[in-house]
Amino acid sequence: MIAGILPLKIYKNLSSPENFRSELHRVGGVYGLINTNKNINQYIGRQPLAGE
Amino acid sequence: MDHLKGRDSNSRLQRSINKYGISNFEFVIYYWHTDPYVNLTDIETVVIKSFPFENLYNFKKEANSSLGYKHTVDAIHKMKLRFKNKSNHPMFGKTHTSFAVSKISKPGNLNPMFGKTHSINTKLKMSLAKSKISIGLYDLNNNLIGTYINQVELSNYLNLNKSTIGRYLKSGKILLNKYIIKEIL
Repeated sequence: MIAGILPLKIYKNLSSPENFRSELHRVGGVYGLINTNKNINQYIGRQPLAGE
Repeated sequence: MDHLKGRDSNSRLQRSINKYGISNFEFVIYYWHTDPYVNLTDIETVVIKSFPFENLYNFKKEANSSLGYKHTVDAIHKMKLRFKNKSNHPMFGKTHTSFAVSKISKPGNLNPMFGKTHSINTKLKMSLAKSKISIGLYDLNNNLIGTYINQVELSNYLNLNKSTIGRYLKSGKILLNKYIIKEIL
């Protein structure tokens, strides 16, 4: 794993993103999209609560 | 969360997804937003800063600021073109409300320059940046005696008021019976 904050939850299969998408939309939070292939680069993003 | 659909997304991330395929990506949750009093943007900034920035696709080091982001030459050119026509500016023909002005205003110690003064070097740099045309001092035979970055510098040299220099520059009249002042383009 890369240095930094440890993730609370990891989703390895992104071919069916409905699960984590609905979960994240319901609560909101800060997520990372990690490229495990290329030097473990990642994108950090946030999902606010609906209406926030 | 439209990154997986490829719209409204980060261009670096999208290029990487296109190159390596979505099967090489994992989705991780760093923070669940369970406390409505917590500013989610601040949390995102904390997460961003906890990783080496060179390992991130993010363009900005702070979630809600442009700190660390450098515009491309193309982008700068586009912005310049856009604002050549002043009516394209979002504030063209508008004025801020007194409420907005009070929010922008930084009186007293809120002002970053409060209690400080600019150094002579800084003043010179600002003066150079603002001076669009140089001033030439000529004798009556039209020989160039000296060039000056602006009217203030020449007024200091001749120990005259800067508005006197401006007046003689505009009229082209002979100054002190021996000088002619002209713009140097």
